[in-house]
Amino acid sequence: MKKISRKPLADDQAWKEAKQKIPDTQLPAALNDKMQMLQPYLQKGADIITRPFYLEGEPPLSAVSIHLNKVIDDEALNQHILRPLMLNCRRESIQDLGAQNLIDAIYKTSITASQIRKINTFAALVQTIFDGFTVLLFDGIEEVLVIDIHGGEFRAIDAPPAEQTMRGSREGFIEILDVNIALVRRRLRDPNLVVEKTLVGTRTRTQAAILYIADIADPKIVSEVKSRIDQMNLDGIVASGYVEQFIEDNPYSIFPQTFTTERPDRMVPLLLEGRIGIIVNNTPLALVVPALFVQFIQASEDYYERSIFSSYIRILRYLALLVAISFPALYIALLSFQPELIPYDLVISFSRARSSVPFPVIVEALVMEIIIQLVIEAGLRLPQQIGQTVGVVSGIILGQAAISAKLASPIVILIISVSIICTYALPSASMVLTTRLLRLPIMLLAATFGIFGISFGWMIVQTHLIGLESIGVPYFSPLAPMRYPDLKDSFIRVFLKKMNRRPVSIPMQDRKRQGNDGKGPEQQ
Amino acid sequence: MLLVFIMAIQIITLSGCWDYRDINSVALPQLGAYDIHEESRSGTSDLPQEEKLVDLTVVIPNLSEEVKAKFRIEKTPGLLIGNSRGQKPYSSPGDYSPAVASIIVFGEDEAATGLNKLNEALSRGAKNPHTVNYSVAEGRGENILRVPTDDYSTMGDYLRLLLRSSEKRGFIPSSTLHQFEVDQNPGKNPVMPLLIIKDEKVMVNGAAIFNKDKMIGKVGLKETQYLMMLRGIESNGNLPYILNKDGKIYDYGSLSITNNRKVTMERNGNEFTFNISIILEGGLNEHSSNVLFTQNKDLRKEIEDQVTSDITEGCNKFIKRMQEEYKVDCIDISKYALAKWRKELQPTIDQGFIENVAIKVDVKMKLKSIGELN
Repeated sequence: MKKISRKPLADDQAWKEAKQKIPDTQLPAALNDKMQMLQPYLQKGADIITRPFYLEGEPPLSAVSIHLNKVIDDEALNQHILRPLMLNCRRESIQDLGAQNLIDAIYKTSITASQIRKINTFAALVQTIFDGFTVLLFDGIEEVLVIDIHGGEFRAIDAPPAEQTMRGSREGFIEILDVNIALVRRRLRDPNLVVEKTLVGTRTRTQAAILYIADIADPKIVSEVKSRIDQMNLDGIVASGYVEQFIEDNPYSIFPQTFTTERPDRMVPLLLEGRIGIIVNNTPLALVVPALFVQFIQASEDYYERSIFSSYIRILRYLALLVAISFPALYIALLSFQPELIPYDLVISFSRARSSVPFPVIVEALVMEIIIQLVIEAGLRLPQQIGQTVGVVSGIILGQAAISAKLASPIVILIISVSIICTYALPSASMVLTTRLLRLPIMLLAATFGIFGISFGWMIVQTHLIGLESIGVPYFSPLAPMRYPDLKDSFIRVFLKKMNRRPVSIPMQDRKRQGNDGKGPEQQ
Repeated sequence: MLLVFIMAIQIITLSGCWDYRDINSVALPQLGAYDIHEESRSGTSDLPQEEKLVDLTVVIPNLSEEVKAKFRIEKTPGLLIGNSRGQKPYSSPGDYSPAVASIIVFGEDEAATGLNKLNEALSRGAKNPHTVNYSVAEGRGENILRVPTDDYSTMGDYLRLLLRSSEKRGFIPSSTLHQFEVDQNPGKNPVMPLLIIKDEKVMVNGAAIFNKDKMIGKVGLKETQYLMMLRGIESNGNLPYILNKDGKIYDYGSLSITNNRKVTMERNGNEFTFNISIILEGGLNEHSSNVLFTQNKDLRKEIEDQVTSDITEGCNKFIKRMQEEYKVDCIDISKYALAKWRKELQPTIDQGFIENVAIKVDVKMKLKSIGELN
């Protein structure tokens, strides 16, 4: 299996040069000169707001505020920047203070916004404008003030739609990176939580944050993740899925190698196990690496419920995974090759149900599988109300119609429906997609080779899983390689108070999670 | 690419699964009966008398709901089982799949000639389930198949319910293909339920005794009860009892009993003594209300003693008949001797061993529940 090369490409230099098209020159002092330089960029963007104003004084200091429309908080701009500068600023002249002291005096005494920095190159000025910052240009001063008052309209924090829980938090990630980081930080107040921001995409310049706990996460894995993100040479990304596809070890695998979650309370325990979180701006789905196969069968709810119930549900999910992938295939294999293995009453019932269907079992099953997959796709893309209607109409009417038209037997509709239900019993959307896809080849193998085909299919899948890695960590661990201590949180989950050590499947610096290894009461 | 090609070739050559057949085109016999071919019986067959043809009669449910009859009965003759199956394409559409048959009834005469010739063909097919139930019919097996069943879809449905795990419902032995094979090991002999037709109804009327694969006798329901207890087949059954005092019946009733067996063995030279301890446990189903347990504190013991005595007597009679008439170990005790002296005994264990051993029966009974305070 070919892997994506992680080495820098030969044309990297050319790419970097292309990125640096904006002249990285020092800014001139005169406001008109600065505006003149900016003009080519400003005239292309109708959403760029330039607001000339004067700072109070004798003579008044000419200044311009530049920002992108609806990207910043207008209220903050007016109240914390423009109003104090225009009405309350008591400035000395440049001649009296000098340019450097004057700009220091402005932002230290007049602007009440908290995040301010200074820049003095043209390239940085252009980038900060398009990154959504508010910039203040002054006449006679080379340096420009960059103020972070990002705001505008965005979705409120809401319950994550794809990862609902009964007992967990109702907060899910939203599209704003800083809010998402804050959601994590509120749950993890460890000073060792590192948040490193980087930009991805030369044109979209999308912010991405890498989160890890410095004294738990393995530095090699952290370094590897950073390196892979840094090597993303593309013009833009609009979702975390882009990052996922660039950093995964084996792009040909149908199994997800990065764990996605929209729950901060799911991400925090994973960070505590030494994993690394990646949150991308404009995406409510965060990535967590390294990911293990067993992780995709676990839900955050597993840790909120008592271990007996969690273990029971978890075992049910594994059963659901098996059924989702193999149930239609098993039906095909048994009816086409080994009817002797079916209890007699059942085989007669199957035969009677199929007696009026003119197609072979595989055709019947494939037709229903494809119809139901299309119904699901239609339901996902349509507005919620219409989607539900389509689902109900398809479920009842199409099923009945297929039976009446003798396209399918009732049993095959039951089989496919059960497998679909089992598919969606899995807590990870990525694993749901994998399951939907994997069902098809297993069905075809079953139709060709019977139960042997199913065994062969599963053998291939298992072999692939055993060879797969996520950021260099064996994907099928703790099963292969066998990590016995981690089995206490795989098929079942033991009592939380027994999980004293972090899982060894994920390389980490500090194994101790809780307790004091049975040495009696902890000495404070 | 080469690897993929090699794997593809391996799959194709190793699979051996190019036997796709749609379930719709398969004839699924539910119940089969093997009998000596009627012409063979009357001596009109072209073959010599010792090469008897076999009649295979099967019940195949009709799959189409548009057909009035729920099933069809097909009968084909042949040299052996495979040959008789081979005749099916001439009279029955669809691929014949004998492996799904869950009940096989052997005709009495066929069973007496030895079933291994049939059993081998059944065992040889890897698809045949070991759980297919065997039984012997008094008379011809096909007659059983032709008895009308009003309460069940087919006779197969009826017999399956009647014979499967029958020992859990009464003192009725059950035998499967697997069990039949196992019971032909040295020192062992099979038994099968015996079916009869009475008042146009099929019912179990005892057990067929086998010497290896040949049926050598049949016993009635009462003897079957002793056979089950002596053989150690754990069963749940109903036992009546009658208590007499001074020549008069003063209490009677029935017990629900489970049985168990323990065997010990002693050897003194060539003399073997087997001690069979039959342990019965159960409760009182009902009894005549003439006497109450609260009034007669010894009633429980009297019932236990009476049942113990009856069963001991019955078992001893059965053992005597087994040793004198059947001359085969149908109570499965020779295996204890073989376990200790296999090398010495195996060559002769089935030839004169059981007839010459002493078998003592000790019945113990514990009536656990009587339904009254005492």
